[in-house]
Amino acid sequence: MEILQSIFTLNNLLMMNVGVAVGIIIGAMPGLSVAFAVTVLMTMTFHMESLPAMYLLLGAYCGGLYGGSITATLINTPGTANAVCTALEGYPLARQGRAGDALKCALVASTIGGLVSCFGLSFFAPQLAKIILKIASPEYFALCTFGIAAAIGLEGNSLNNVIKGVLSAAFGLILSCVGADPVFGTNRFSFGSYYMLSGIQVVSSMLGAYALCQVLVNCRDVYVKGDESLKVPPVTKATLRLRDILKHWKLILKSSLIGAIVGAVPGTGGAESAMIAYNEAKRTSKHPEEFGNGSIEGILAAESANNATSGGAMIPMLTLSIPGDTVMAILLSALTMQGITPGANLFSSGSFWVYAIMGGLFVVNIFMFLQGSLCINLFAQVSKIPQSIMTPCIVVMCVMGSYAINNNIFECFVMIAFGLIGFFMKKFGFPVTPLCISLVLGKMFETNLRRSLILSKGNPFVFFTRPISCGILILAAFMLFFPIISNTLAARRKNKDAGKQN
Amino acid sequence: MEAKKARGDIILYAVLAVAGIVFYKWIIPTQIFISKTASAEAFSPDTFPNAVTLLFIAASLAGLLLAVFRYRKAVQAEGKPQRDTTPKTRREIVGIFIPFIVFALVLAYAIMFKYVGFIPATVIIPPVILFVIGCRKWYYYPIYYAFAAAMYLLFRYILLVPIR
Repeated sequence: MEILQSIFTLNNLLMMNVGVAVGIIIGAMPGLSVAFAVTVLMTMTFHMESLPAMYLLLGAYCGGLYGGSITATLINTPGTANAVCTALEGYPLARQGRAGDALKCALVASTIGGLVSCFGLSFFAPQLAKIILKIASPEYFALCTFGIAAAIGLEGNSLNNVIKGVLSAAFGLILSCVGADPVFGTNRFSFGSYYMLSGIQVVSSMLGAYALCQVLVNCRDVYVKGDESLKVPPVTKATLRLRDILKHWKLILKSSLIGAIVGAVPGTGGAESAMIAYNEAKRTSKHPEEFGNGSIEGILAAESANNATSGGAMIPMLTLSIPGDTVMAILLSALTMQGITPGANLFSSGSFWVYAIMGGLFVVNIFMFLQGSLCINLFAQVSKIPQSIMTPCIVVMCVMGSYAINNNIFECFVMIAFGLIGFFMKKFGFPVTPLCISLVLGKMFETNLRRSLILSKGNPFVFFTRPISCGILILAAFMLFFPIISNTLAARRKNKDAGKQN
Repeated sequence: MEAKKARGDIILYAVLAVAGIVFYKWIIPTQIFISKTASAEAFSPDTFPNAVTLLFIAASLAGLLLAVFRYRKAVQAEGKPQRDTTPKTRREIVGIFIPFIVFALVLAYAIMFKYVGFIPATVIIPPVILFVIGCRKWYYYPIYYAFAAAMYLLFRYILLVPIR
């Protein structure tokens, strides 16, 4: 009761709403991340009381996670790697005149994902924390392999497509090597440039590979056929009802659990969980052919898993004082500044804080749903804007967004280079998603591969002697080859049926 | 059609395989300087890039073999690929180069941003892009300027990104 009273004060509710609004706006800006939203707001919390300060930051965190789906859907620009899968399905839906439906699905799934992870945090945090402690470098390596294999398997319905996916992923892994080597600090592929030492920023590469690439692809059609060629059908309002979306409750729940569990592993985040949940949804769907052409199930899986990482990521932070990612590190420092020391003791001695944070996270998700619902139809109007006027606007957003990453013009050139790479990849039928996912996971993949091999004195079987890592690697192989096997079997069945009819 | 596609893939995979070999043979050795301490380790800083490049070459060669197989099969079924002789309009021919012209303009935008500043670059280049892609509606230009101004104000004064 005391906790409920402390959550539902006017000041706290106001801070949650401000945080959510700022988070959604910044999350929707290409190039600006959730970490940016939390950092901007943290400077305002120094003179605030602990609870409203915490709620302001939690609001920005959850709002930012959802905000990425807005631009991913409307202009095919995933602000962060978390929204890559949403862009794969949301943008085709927006082009069909169903931007409102896509945004509503993303919102509902994000809210449910956030709520499920809150429950996970409330009931299973200490138990999950014990399991997380057992995860070592071989398991991390296996998780990265799984993420990359899942990205390759997304469009790998034939052997030729799998080869293209492997090439795309290998290219991403090579690009992830740019900069200082993670073990010895040796410079790699810096080509004498000072800027290359810190490696390639994922956000600028994604802005190029998705947004600028889309501009380059569309501008030809705009020139040859005019705006009419890219005009979307007039229905853009959300027509799907909540109960239509909730029909997929099993999928949303499963994806949320995937998000909460993957998010709880330090170092992993929304990108990995969304990719895994999306692939799982595609594998188990009754309509796998809709994936890539605007699948509601794809959006629901990706977004619920993405937002479920919010509660999951808090588990190692609150129970073990281990921040899983940049945002958690910022939240940890904010908690410490407010005099709260996370760790095992927080659950025994300071349970007020644990439940206040969990309760706050729950209410923040509700506010996110309300704010999002109010604005969906407004956001959906963006897809009605003619492509010719969108072209220079997206170019400006890409340049500003990439500049804002490090306040450095070098990132703009990286973004432009990736725009051309993405354009050629699209032209020759190479999937862009494995490239981006490999770029995100590359450093972690290499570090854990090396660490595992060093600790096992070069024994490559270390990945197969540990049950968790072995299980994940088997699943990764399954993810990679399942589409080919199922397609081959389906083709054989078709041939057999045709033979019988003849 | 399939034969033409497979022929394109043969060229593509061959180029990628050659690029991979060049990268493995010349770029990796010149771009990774390994210290004595690092070279003593079984897993030195160039092991991972080398392994991934070998994977890249192997995948390219596998793709090449598959494309050759597909080409032979397609030629048997539909004959050698014919040249596309359907007449193209002037607009369609220019349209092929439009993505590259827009790309060059975006590059010019970034260069101008670096040397002249954000505001002059934003005032000049994106409207040129709008013009190049064939937009002749005058009211699109003020809409663009209003959007650019709003974005500038948001980034510069609210999000405090030091754009000059």
